[in-house]
Amino acid sequence: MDNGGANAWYKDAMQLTSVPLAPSVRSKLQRAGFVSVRDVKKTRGPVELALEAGLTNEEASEVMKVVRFGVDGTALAGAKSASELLREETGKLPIYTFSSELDALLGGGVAAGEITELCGCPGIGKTQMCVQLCASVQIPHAFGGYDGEAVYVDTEGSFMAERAEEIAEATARHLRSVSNASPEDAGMSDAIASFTAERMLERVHLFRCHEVTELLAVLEALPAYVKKHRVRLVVVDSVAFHFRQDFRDMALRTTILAKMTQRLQQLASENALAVVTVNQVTVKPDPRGGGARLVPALGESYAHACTTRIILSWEDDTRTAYLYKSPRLPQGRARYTVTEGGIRDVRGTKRPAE
Amino acid sequence: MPAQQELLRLIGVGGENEPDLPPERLEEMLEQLWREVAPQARAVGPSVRRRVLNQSLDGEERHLTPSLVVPPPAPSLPPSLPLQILDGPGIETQLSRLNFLPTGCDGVDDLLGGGLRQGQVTELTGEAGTGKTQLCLSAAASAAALGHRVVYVDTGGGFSSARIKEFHRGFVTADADTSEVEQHLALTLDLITVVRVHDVMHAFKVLEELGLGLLGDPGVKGDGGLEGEADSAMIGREMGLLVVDSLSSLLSPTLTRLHHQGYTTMASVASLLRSLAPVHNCAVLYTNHTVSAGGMGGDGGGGGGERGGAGGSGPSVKPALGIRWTSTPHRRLCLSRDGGGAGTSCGAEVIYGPGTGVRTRFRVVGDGIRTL
Repeated sequence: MDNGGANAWYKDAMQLTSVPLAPSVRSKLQRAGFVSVRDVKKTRGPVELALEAGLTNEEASEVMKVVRFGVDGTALAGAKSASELLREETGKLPIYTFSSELDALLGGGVAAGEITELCGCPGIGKTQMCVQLCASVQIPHAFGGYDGEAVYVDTEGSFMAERAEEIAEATARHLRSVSNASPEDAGMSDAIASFTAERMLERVHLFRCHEVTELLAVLEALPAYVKKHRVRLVVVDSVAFHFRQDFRDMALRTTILAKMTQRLQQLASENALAVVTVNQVTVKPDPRGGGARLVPALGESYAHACTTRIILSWEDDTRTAYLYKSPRLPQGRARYTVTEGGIRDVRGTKRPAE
Repeated sequence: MPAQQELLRLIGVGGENEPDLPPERLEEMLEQLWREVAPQARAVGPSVRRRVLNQSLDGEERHLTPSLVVPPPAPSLPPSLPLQILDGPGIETQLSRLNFLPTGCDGVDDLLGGGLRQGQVTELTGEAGTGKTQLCLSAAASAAALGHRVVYVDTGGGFSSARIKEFHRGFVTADADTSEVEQHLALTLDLITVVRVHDVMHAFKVLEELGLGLLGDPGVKGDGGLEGEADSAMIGREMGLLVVDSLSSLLSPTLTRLHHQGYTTMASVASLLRSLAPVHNCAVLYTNHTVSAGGMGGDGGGGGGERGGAGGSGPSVKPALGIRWTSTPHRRLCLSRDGGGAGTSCGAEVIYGPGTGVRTRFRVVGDGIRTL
């Protein structure tokens, strides 16, 4: 059987509902009896199509364009076999949180290619952790890091340059001590020479968004931006802030949130970078018993948006991270603390008994 | 063939004269003649036979080959289209040929009456972190381990090959030969094709292409040397299981109150999925998220599930995509999670389709999903 011919047949059988057309144009086409791509292709040109379907000439030529070029090429061109993905996954570097207990919980650190959400009450260290990650992502290749840049989308105005500098300095200090411990490694000492706190701050790109529209505009511009720079981490701190204030129409909010999540997900997987979002918590009455409990904000449908969700909370005066959901890691908890130099392990105490 | 022609003339095939033989004898001779000229084409009916035999009289050089007997398919129709109309017994035999694909969890298999049935659409719904993606991965791993081709449409970055590897380890006994396990794992992984999809139009293209049995270069050519190029072109046709995780995250952004295009899109996806399953004899498994039942969902106020989540979560959440979507899957499974903390167990309940109301409990562990 002639394969090419058969393929052409299949392609043309595609329904018009599956082709990206404006709804008004599509309904006109359907009313005129055009069902599949083939029906449109059979017409002799845009003028005839316009006459038959009652479209304007511009609309008709647009339809012809979409039908001729939009449906060609294979949708599965980007598909990969699982064995290929396994190789990619094992080769992926994590972004360290600098708390070994937390890193172990996350399978090495924050993973690239997915959305990791941090939620927790104010003061638990969400922003601290984001700033720490911005520093960690810049660790040079010689030290097993990404040597990448970070984008920090700040909606709450909580990014403090002084604090970032402290954490950057602590990170640089740490790397210098690692380098000093193995003086024979020339790669490390070369890398550390240019690794200063100032340079680290230069490589954190801050976007300050004052309202939802700005946030969406930034997300729209990000794919081009991250390609231009060597961005390996995108932080959105916080997603919840504007969405909890600016919306009265809840259905609209859900739709916009879902779209935004799609964008972020696409950004993460197409550029193999890590996306970290911050979410607030809200009080929800417990249906099982009286009282209330703290749950992540933005509602039920947003809970599905992130790949990995980490809930930060206080437990016995210790900050605890609880891995609530992850497709590849078991649930569990890890303790961490916020120091002057960033996120660190809890010192001097034993791990809590499970 | 002169002897045959003489015989034909005698029995009246092709001649104007009525044969002067008794009809039983005529049939017998016809049968005999048929066996001589077209031994492979035994199964055709008498009317076709007569026509063919007539043609054999027209010209000497015309050979009676089976291709002549069986009329070639109309050139404009692909042979794989299901043009046959089935009667009752036909449906029965077709059904008996369908396989059940295991989900990797016995309890859930029981709920589904044996597993994911090929030709049917199964939905998993439930709150975040109730094991929807885990069940999808487990089902993909077990189907691939049994040699079925799996297409995994991933919208949320939830696919993890490392997790597939862990599940695969759970299928073999602890004392299995390491190299054999490795080899089988490689085969299993190669059978799973992962497509990352981020918007509904791309999803359409993928589903349409899979549905029509067309697949371009899936990027696995020569990969691992385990399958040839012919295989990669056949993925759509061979597909035994299609997983979409999550379908609702693709559809829900298009559902707005402003215009109803989203619903058109949703209906198209529904009909694509419903037609894909029986045509390809593949099982379709997809996930649907939940929205709070307080009307916050983007589904325009449709009451999705008449019954809310199973277990303790009560009616505070309902499946997304609204009431219009409810009848799309053959079966809808609602997952729930009780309590917090590590190592919690999950529950599953059929809330739509055969076996409604049946429940089971399971726990996601390192190398599989255990029934409790």
